[in-house]
Amino acid sequence: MTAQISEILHYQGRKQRMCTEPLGDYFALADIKPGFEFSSTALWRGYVGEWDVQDGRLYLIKLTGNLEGGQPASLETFFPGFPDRVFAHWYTGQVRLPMGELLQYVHGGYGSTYEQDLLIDFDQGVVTQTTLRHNSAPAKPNES
Amino acid sequence: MNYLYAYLALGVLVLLVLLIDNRRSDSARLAGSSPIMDALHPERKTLRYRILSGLVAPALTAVGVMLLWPFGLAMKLQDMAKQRDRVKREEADTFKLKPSDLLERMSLADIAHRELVYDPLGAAPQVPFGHAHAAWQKFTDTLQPGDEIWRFSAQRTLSSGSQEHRLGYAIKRQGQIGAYFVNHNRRTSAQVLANE
Repeated sequence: MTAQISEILHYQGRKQRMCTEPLGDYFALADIKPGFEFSSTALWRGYVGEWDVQDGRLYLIKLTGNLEGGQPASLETFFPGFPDRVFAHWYTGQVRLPMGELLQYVHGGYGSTYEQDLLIDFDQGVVTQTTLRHNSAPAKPNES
Repeated sequence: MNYLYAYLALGVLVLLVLLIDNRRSDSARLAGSSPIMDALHPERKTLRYRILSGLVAPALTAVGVMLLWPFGLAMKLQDMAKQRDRVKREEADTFKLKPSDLLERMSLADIAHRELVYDPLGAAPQVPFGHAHAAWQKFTDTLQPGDEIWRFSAQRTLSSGSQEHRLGYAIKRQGQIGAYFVNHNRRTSAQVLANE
């Protein structure tokens, strides 16, 4: 599986890559089959979501992708009446923002290792904890 | 000489089987041209690229499979075994509620109060379960007279080593757990668990 294009999180005034897909949880919980058009093996889910943390809350602020049939998807497609901002109250879990230099590339999913990971825990869309994890390059099989 | 013909004939047979299987799989459909890939790699539109990818590469692959078909067959069998393992793992990971997961019986009014969503920026409907309200309504539409609704919390470890914690509401009908509505599903990967 090819390495995947990440989601985007606006956090503390910067655009960061986010290797977690909170919208997938929403589709599962609301029993929605989103039907995104496949465009590349680097984007199996078919969309890129742009997120924002404001006042300790997680919001979906943009959705880019095409539906099967070619029409572009937007927030309105899945959240009618909320074209600009959607509170991700459904999301409980940890999001990972890789930072720094790439230490090891993994050709699949979000498996690559970077110098640091900023881990943000959410409970029902509200930040509960933020942790910065320092990573080291995984040892190669022939290294003891 | 007869052995050689038999070997090559089997190679043609394996090639045909692999071709048919490939045509039926999603990968063939997805390997086609896409506007995004064309935009990223303009060379895909050149005649040279088309000849190489459309004629030369498939021809060389076909010859390779015919000559070295035991390797192709072994790879296919390995792929099938992996697929079977994946199906088994998925079956083992299928979510099932146990009676011990049920925490308390609740009324619809209590749930509506407990699950009311409020956002100061107005980015969610102020109703029970917010954006997932329609799914909740669909769930409650299945209630029958005499049904009970129970709040549940179910934790389990998946075959991958990840931990999953689901919270939600289940219908208990004549003492049996029936349909359920999950409103939170927290999954913690094995890697994160190892780092904790």
